[in-house]
Amino acid sequence: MSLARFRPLSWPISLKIPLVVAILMIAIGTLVTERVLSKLSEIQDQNLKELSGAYLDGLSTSVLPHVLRADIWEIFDAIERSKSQYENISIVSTIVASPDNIIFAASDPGSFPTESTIPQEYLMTAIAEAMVKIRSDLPVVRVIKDMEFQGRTIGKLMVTLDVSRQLAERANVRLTLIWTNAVFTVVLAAFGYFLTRRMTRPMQVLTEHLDQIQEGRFQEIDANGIGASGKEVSTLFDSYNAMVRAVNERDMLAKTLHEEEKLAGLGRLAAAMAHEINNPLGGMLNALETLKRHEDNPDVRRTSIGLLERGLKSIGDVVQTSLAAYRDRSARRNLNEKDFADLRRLLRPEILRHAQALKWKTGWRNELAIDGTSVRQIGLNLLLNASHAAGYGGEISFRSDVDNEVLRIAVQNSGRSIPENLLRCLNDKSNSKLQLDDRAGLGLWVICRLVEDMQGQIKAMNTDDGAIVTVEIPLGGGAIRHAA
Amino acid sequence: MKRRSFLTHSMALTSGLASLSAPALAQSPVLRFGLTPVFLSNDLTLLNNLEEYFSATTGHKVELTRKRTYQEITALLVSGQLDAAWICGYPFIRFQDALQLLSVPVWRGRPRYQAYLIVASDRRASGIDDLQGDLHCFSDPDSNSGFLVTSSLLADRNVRPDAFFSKTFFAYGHRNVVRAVASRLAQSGSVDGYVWEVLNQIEPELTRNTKVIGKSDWLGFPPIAAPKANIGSPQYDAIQSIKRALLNMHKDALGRQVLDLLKLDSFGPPEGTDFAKIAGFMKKVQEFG
Repeated sequence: MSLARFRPLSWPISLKIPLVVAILMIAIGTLVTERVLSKLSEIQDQNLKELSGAYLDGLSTSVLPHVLRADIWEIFDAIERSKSQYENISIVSTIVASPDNIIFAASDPGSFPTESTIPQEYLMTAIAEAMVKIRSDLPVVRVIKDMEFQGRTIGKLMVTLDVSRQLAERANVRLTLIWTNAVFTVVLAAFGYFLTRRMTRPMQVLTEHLDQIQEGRFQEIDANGIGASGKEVSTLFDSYNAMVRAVNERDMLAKTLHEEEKLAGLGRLAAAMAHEINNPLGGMLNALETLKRHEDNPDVRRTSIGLLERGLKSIGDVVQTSLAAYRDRSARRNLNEKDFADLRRLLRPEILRHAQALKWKTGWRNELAIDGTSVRQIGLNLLLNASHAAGYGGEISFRSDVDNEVLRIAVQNSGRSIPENLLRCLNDKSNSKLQLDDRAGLGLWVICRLVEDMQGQIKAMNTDDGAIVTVEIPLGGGAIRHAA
Repeated sequence: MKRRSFLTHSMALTSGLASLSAPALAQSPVLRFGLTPVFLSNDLTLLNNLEEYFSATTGHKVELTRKRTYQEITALLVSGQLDAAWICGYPFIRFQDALQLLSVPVWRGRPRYQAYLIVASDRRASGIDDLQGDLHCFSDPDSNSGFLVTSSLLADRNVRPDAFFSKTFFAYGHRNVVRAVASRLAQSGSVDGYVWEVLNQIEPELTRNTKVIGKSDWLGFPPIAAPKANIGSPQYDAIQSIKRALLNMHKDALGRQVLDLLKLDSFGPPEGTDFAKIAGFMKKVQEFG
């Protein structure tokens, strides 16, 4: 795990608070332990100082006359007797010596024989009464005191005290404090953890519900279920629940509106189809009536049959357009250059019938990663509209190329331009183009819907002689293969 | 005449006692009995029993007097400030002109004891010659076993104690001598054999750290003596009652308790007790200087 990933600030609050409590407890525990041990050391030092001072003073008083006479036995006997009088201090050894460190007698004559010299090590480590202090690295404290008589030093007292009990007591207190602090730290950290968990439980619940919102689910919080008794939490949950209720109501309303809009759209579609069919249908009925009356007239018969044929073709176009628009999209396939060849073939009868000139240019080859059926439908509608607008003897230009992963289809026609309101409607980038009124014709409506579905855009503009509509559709679903 | 002679004798023997006098004894209704540090320890039970026994058998109130040194008890006894005292054979010989024997303790069937030379139990030594250069502990300068015998042995070798030993000191008590050697305060010691043997019975943990490397001949046991000056005085009967109490101690229940504490058989009559060897030691030491 790298240090970069070690980011305590990102830890949950239920972990941070117990951790802070633990750190504070450790800090406080360390401080308290240090203070207690320091105070204990002071007390022990003071106690030892007083006891050793009392012992040396008492022994000094009892041995002083014997030291004056150099009475070895009495000095020894006084040392022996003093042992029982100072049982509350652990005396390792006591030495009574002359001013020049020659031993008169000691509590352990085997180690410190009479007439021998006090060991140099003892002299080096001995301290005066006022300086008594227990060192953690030494199990003994050695105290030395001069015996004065009539202003002259007549001898020395040296006592070695065993302070291992005091050191053990310090170690014991230290261990007890550490254990106590450790237990308190763990208990308080655990308490802090559970308390924080309990306190932040409402926030967790709120977070979980907010996460559900991202998944599209708006659920109210059951405040009773988690025991949220705090006023602030209850208010927060009430506000959240009110918001959820409002959102749910809005969704319901939106869903209803959507259904109504779908029905309205279907109505518009039906009306548009009826309109498209009704126009040729009226002509066809007239032609049929004329044919009934003048069936013997070859001109009338030819003209009427022509009208019927065109009317049926017109109705066929409407049906074809509807089929293309609402065909099942599951059978999606890529756009092939043959699709545009088919477009040109499909358009040829119209071009010939209106004696129009067609310019055709395709700037790519083979196949593009784009819905071929939809693009073909868009192209067909654009060309039919252009042919219709160009009129008899007009010119139509079809150009297709690929640039920056975008398929661009531009269809230009001479003759009639696009009405201003339709032009504004086509160039509008909002969804309003989906609401082209029925006067725009089913073809344009189909184009707009398909382009919208493919995240493309339509640019329409009028020229000096006619209009040009450009459709730009981003390629998707795969790389361009064999692009020209 | 006798009183004058006694005072003269006392002044000659004991410094600082020039102003002492005896008349108080005759007027005292109390029997004063002195005890030297030959005693084993500060055994209050023993002192109480002894005092009670003497009081019961003599009909007098008895006052026990204990001093640190033999010299103090001897001086009090010789000066007549004590009616009787348990002293050592050495001071008795020194002041036998002024003292009369009342009784001699019987230990292990005989009124005799020995002087011991002791060293630490782990030390290799077999006689006094191995102790040269020691820090040696004597019991008392007026003790036979605790000083005189060893000094006599050294006199036989034409050497004084302070020359033979590196240093000497007095512990003023045979038990103290044993303590000094056992604790290694002293490397060797001169001690009463009776005391060492009794300590070996009642305080074996003390004697365990010592061992005996030399024993003297059998010598007269430290006796109970009284000033000769009292003979014929009104106090004499009282002193005789002490003698009777001592001689009959083994026949009395309380007396037997005292004897049991002292680990003695009885207190016997003084007749036949031989202090001649002690006198010989004294003479030898005095002559050697």
